[in-house]
Amino acid sequence: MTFALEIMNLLPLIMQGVAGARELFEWGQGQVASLGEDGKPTDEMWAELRARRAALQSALHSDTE
Amino acid sequence: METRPLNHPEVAAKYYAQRQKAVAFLQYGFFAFLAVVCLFAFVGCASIQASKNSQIETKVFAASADYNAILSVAVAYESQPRCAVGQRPLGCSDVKVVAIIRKSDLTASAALKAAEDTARTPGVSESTAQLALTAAVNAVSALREILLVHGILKP
Repeated sequence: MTFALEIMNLLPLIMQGVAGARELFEWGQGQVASLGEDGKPTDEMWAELRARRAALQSALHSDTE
Repeated sequence: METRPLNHPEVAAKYYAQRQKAVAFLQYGFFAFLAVVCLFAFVGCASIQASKNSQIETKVFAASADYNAILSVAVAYESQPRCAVGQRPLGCSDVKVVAIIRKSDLTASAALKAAEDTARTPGVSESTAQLALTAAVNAVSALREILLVHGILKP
């Protein structure tokens, strides 16, 4: 389940966002790869994932009235 | 005349006592064997279940990580200045699209959080964990589709 193809085919106008998207995508892939066959994400991994999402949501909704 | 040993009361009593012990031993042994088999089966099933749920939790985690990646694209779009009336949406963001993205994010992130909490609940059934995974994937797809429809992501 990856969306790498979409992420790599972004419009040029959001090229600045591509780097961030790619970094986030690769971070997720790296975390999952580090788990091994039967491993599951640790509390710290979940916390980091949620913190990253919270930061993005804060930016997305920053000027919401 | 030779007498049979069991005709002798003491021998017979000893024989029957030993036989009773043997039967009792076999019975207890059988039940103990059954108990051990059931225990192994239970532990085995619980272990398989835990392993499957771990895999599902990992998939929910991967979906959430993908969501973050897609969300960052939405943030990059939103961070551009709003388009003026009649301006083509190149280098600017459409106020209506931004509103749609924000609304979609609120819905999707709530669904993702619920899916994450469910998948991480200890002892949750496999079918429930699977439903959580479906919800997480749908949440990711929803935002992805919106970005695709508005040309922010290319198919």
